[in-house]
This record gives sequence, structure tokens and C-alpha cells, in this order.
Amino acid sequence: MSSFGGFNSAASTPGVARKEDVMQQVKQELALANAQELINSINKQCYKMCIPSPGTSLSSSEQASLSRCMDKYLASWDTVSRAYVARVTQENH
Amino acid sequence: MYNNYGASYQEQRLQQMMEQKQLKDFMRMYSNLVSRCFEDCVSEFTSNTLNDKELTCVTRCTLKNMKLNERIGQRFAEENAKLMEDQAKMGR
Repeated sequence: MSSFGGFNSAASTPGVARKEDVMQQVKQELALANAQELINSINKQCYKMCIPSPGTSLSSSEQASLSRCMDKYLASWDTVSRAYVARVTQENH
Repeated sequence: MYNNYGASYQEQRLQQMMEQKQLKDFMRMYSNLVSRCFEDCVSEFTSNTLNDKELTCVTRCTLKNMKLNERIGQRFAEENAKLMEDQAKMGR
């Protein structure tokens, strides 16, 4: 999540923008969109799984469940990432 | 990236837009994948780490979905080629 902190002041005139600056900006925009998408997914999934009947406030057990759900979801994200990269690099050899 | 203007600039812009779209599509596919595999493989939150069973399940789910996508792509390309061929024949 810290990968999208800080935006560099890339040159705004097209002719001057270096390729590296553009790449960096694209990466940051991507990381941000990625994070937003991720938070949305976690919200949706964990609400569905941890809060069977909504009350007026979150009980402490629901909070704990949500917290663990998020940890597990992020761990799944990592696992998918690893499996994906492993498969892709395997194909390229 | 924006070295010259004119028609070539248009091409570069178009290519950049296509690349962005591809990236977006990839990100969407990726997050759908994680969501699906999480839903299928994880059912309880007694701990905050994935146990071995869940880990294996997620890994297998990912690989299976990737293979599925590849096969769908292959079939699509085959069918598309057939369609183009048929259309070419009809056009004569």
C-alpha cells in the first residue's frame, strides 16, 4: 500500500516528458486504481462473509472477523500473484 | 512517447489508449480471479493467516483459471479464423 505514496512532478508538456517519468506516473495511477479496486473487493466479500445479519453497530466479534478476513484476502492476493507469475515465467522458458 | 506530432502522434495516442485499456482489463480480470478464488477457498476466519489447505486451494484455483482463459483464447481464435474464412468465401 505504500507503493503509491507521493507523486512526482513530471513535466506536463508532452515533448519534454521523459519515458521514465511517464512510466512512473502510469505505475502510480495503476497502483492507486488497484488499491481502490482491492478495498472495494475486500469490503464486499468480507461484509458478505462476516456480517450475516446487520445490526445498528459492529460487534467486537464482527470487527475481529472483518480484520482477519482482510488479512486473509490480502494473503490470497499474494498467493494468486505468486502462482500467476510462476506460471507465466514457466511458459516463457 | 510523444516525440512527434501529426499522424504519428495520433497513432501513438491510440496505441497508448489501447495499452491502458489492456492494462485495465488485466487488472479487472486479476481482481475477479482473486475474488473468486477467495470465495471458493476460504470459509472461516478463526485465524488471520491462510492455512495449508487454503493456500493449496488458492494456488490451484489460480492455475486452473489461467489454463481456462488460455483455452478459451485458443478456441476463440480458432472459431474466429473459421468465421473469417467463411466470410471470405461468401464474399467471392
